[in-house]
Amino acid sequence: MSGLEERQVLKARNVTVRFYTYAGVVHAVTGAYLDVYEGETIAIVGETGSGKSVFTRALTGLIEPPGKIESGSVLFRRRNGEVVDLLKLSREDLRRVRGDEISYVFQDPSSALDPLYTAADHIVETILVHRDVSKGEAFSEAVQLLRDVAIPNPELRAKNYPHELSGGQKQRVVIATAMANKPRLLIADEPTTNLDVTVQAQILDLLASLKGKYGMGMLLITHNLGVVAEVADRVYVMYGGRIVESADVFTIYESPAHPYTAMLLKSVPDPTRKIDKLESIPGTVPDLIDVGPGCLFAPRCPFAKDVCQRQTPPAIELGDRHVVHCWLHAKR
Amino acid sequence: MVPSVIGALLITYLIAYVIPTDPVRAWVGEKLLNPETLESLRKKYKFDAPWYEQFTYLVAQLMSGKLEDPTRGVPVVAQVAERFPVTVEVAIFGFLFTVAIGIPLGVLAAAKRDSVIDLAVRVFALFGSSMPSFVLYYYLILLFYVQTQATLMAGVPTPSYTCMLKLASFKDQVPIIGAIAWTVGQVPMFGAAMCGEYGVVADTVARMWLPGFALGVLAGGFIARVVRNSLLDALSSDSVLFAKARGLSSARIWRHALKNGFAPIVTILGLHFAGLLTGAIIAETVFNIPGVGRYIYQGIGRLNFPVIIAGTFLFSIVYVVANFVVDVIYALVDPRVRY
Amino acid sequence: MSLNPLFKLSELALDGYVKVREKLSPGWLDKNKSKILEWKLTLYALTASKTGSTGILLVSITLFLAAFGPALAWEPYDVYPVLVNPELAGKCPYPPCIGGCRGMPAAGTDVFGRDVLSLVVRGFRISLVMSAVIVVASAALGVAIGLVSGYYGGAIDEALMRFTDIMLAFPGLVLAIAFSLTLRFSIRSLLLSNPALTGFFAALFALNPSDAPNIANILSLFLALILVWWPPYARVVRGSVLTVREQGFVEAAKALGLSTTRVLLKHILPNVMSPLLVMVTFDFATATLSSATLSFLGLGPQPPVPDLGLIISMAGEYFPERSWWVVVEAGAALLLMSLGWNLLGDALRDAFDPRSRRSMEVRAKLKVGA
Repeated sequence: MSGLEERQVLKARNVTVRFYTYAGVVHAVTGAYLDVYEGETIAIVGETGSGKSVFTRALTGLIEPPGKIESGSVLFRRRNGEVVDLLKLSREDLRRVRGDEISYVFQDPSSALDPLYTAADHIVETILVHRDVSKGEAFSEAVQLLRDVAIPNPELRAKNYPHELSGGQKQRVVIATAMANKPRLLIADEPTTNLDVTVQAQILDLLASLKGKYGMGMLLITHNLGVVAEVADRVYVMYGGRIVESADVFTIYESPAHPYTAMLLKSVPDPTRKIDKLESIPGTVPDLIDVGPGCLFAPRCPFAKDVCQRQTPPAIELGDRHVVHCWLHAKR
Repeated sequence: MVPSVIGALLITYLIAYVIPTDPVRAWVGEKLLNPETLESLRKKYKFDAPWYEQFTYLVAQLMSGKLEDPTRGVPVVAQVAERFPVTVEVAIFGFLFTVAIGIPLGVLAAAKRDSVIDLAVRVFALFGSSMPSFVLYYYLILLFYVQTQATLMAGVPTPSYTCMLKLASFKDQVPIIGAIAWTVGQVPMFGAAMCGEYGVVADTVARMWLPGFALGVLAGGFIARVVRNSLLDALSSDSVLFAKARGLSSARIWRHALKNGFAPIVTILGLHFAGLLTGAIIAETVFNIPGVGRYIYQGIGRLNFPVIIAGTFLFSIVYVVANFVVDVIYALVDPRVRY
Repeated sequence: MSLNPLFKLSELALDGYVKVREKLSPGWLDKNKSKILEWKLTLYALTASKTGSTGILLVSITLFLAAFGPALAWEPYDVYPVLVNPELAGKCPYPPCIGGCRGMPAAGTDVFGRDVLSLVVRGFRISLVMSAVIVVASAALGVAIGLVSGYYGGAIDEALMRFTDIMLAFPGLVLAIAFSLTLRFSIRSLLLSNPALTGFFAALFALNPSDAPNIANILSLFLALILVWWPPYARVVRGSVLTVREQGFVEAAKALGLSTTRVLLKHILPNVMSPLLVMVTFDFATATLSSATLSFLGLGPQPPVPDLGLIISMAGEYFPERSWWVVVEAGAALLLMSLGWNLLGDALRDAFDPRSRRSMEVRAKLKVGA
């Protein structure tokens, strides 16, 4: 079954993830969806707790108990052209996809890298598990990869342990590991949040150039709207575990349809304007335990109506692949 | 290190000798000695001198190896040195059983978290820490010696005299390796093995497996819990998540987890071995093993202060050295700790 | 939601306490509503788990026997039947037998002809008082040193911590042996010259006041253990003090003009309470075993005192055919006591652990007050 369009790499539909904890059932992600095309950079934006990390991990089934992927389909076009539903693959098949065709870069490189393994060890391991090459070949590939991610003296650095590297270098090693098998899709979960601002720019540039060089798709998770404006082609906005709006980057910035998106954009201060007060969104992030019907943003929304509390808004197409989940745009 | 050892000696001594009593009489026991002999003994140990003189005398005697066991008239240090290898042997058996019981159980409990096995390990650890050691030893003796005659209960198998001579000459002939071989060979079991006297080795196993097993049962639960917790921490770490995200095989992921999980365990195991050495007093007494522990116990009974002092000193050194060795091992295992 | 009877009982006790405090100082209830809720939740957490309820059960038995054991015991401990009745001498230790053994106790006797079970019942008191005194005294000492060291810092901190480290670096058992041996003589002379003191301790241990040397032995035993026991408390408390100091409470309090002791007692100590309570509970188990071990080695009281370690040690000579029941009975008593404390400690630790607490809070949904 091929539900994918011609240049589409990934199609996720109706993904729901729940965590069964002592405190109750946490609806971390509800009915999320995603489309990624070749060569695109997709940004997923949202506050902490919006479910963006859980959603992207669920894409390759990286959810551990007490979490459970309740439903959903994630169609993925593999290198050999075959289209599979990742959520229906066996564990062994899924393992083959990860690190080979879909790679992850996580937020904190210090904790992602194993302190007892050298930089090269990480890369070599990832190569050997997915491809049939000798250790020596893998090692020279690793050195080359370290060169590609702009680490000076790669032959030397390859033998370094993580604690001997700076934050920026560690993240580069992580990226090199992710790139090792030339994946079709790179999922980067807040890759620059833990780094200095100057290093952030370098890493983003690096990711962009690698994307171009290898022709990958990139899924970037961030809460930094500035970064989104710089690199993204299309944007998905998440709130309370759901997608609330999705559009191409220009539309999102120029005409956001969802009140949350609009308020998010307004809360980013413009350095060229003098203001007296910083804009913020009143209220707090919703509690995702035992969630009932209705729009989750309603308690904080200045435009909330009766129907918003009672019924969950459906997806409303505003044309040109701009979708919003808000009763304000519902046609009577 | 040195200040710590001196400190312990001082503390022991201060309390020991600042007492208005006559240990000499206690040493002599029921025997009737003429007052002059008693007096000369007192003079010898300087019991009539101020405490600091007594202490310096004692330490000097100890350090130079001349301190004497008053009940036997032989140097204490020699007596202790004779018995220490036996204590080491007991500790080795105890350590092997602890590791053999504790580590597999711990790994199993981590792999099957919150299962029946996990609960059983928890209960096992609980009993291990609630059971009085000597009671367990008696129970086990009842079971294995009395009912089934599965072990020996007296003496320690030692290698033959010719063997010890061979080792000594080896030490003299070959420089460093000889010395190491000789030191290792002091432990009866290893000495016999090096000379090919495997009968002695077999006898040693028959003799020592029960105390070793008992020690293992007591500590195994605790070690299992430590291993379990350490492994679980490692398994839920971000680096394991990243490993999974890279598509590493189950085996490789466990390798990551085990390597990271075991680093802190090495420290604990090292300290446990030191604990086995110094805590041997009870086991040696109940199992009738002629090691340093039992020697100290006998000294306690007779208020034999030189023996007690020498024993305390030895155990303090063991502990301090063990701490040091553990630090070194940890530095080897964890690349972040390099000096 | 059905609450188990253990919880209902403790809740009743707590409510009673609350009522009394309210009567003494009206308004106390309102001010401490959240604290009382905390206590209720801790009680619930403790009684709801199997570990907790079993632990509470065993500890209650221990406390009961410790309090009433000597009164309940049916045989005096300082009378040796073999001396009273010389024909028994060869037959003792007499094995247990159920249902009439020609006048011999069903639980068997020790070498002196005394009923083992009666001795064990008496032994609870000695074990409990010893562990209680050791733990409370060393905790108090350790906490005091830790507070002072952490609060004042500087040279005092350095010196105290150096000392603590030296004490920590040594095998406790060995040091305790050395100390207890050497302390007993001074204590013996102290007691002999001070009958009132002797009488007090005799009552505490339910022993005969004329047996001063044995009382001295007991005292030297736990004095030795206290000396060895306090360092971990000092370390833990000092650590907490340093953490609290960094949080600025202390600065603020000093700026408000509060005296040092006030700051220490009212602000720092409460933060340390939970881990301290857990430590103390576990230590009761360890202290029970350690004092029994030292008694076993001969450093504790001597016969006829019914110390459990001593009883087992004496039985060792006739082990196994002629005294296995002694080891079984006295050993079981020691096991049960430490098991109880360990279980309670485990349950307390879980009750205070914020992760497992969240789940219990949700399940309990308790109310406080009227």
